[in-house]
Amino acid sequence: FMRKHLSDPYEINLMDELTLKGVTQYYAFVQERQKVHCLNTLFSKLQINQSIIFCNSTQRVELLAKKITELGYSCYYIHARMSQQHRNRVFHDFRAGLCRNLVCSDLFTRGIDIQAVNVVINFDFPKMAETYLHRIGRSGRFGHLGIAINLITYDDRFNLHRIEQELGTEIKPIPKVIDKSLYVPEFQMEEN
Amino acid sequence: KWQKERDDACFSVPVDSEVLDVDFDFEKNLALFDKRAVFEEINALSKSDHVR
Repeated sequence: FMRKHLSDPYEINLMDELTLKGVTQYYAFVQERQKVHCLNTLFSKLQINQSIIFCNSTQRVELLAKKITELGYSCYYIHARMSQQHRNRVFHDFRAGLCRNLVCSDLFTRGIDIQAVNVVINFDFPKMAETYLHRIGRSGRFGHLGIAINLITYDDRFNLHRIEQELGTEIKPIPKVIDKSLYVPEFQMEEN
Repeated sequence: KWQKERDDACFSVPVDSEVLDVDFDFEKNLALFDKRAVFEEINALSKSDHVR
């Protein structure tokens, strides 16, 4: 087709690679029973524009979404056991900014490309480096800043070690105060 | 079953619990996990596997 209809075409691959560039990654050390408390504190302290919160199972997505609502924060949720049509609807509404927080399992195969999302929280730390990259990574053309916060339990230590090694990245302990210029648009310096 | 216990531990805290009134103590919890020491241990483990 190309040879027949295009003369001397340039070929460009538009599928940008996922990158962790621009994303500051932190971990908080917790026990399973402290996770909700920890998340509640993060909600109250961080300046969240929009957030995505990842769990490792559909069951936990539903339980957490219920919990977050009870805590008084608005949230949507999507997981693999919902119909594609329903998922698309929820995702569309989230993208349109109708809700601040989205709880979900691993559905995104191309990384998150919503500009308004400045905070990603791994409520459950993933097992595979690829999953981590899909959750946290951005496609190159959206090189905007953001933070990722991982809730790490003692059981996650091997996965944490392996994922850092495989991705050649460092996940730092969460500081007392998180510099707003790392994730809040209004506080960011002019980009070049 | 293990997963059920984990979910219970995670989600059974009532939202009106007094615990939630105070901020989660990040620093105190971080102090319970010496990342560097744990990683050195993991590295040592994988090395000894390699030798065998």
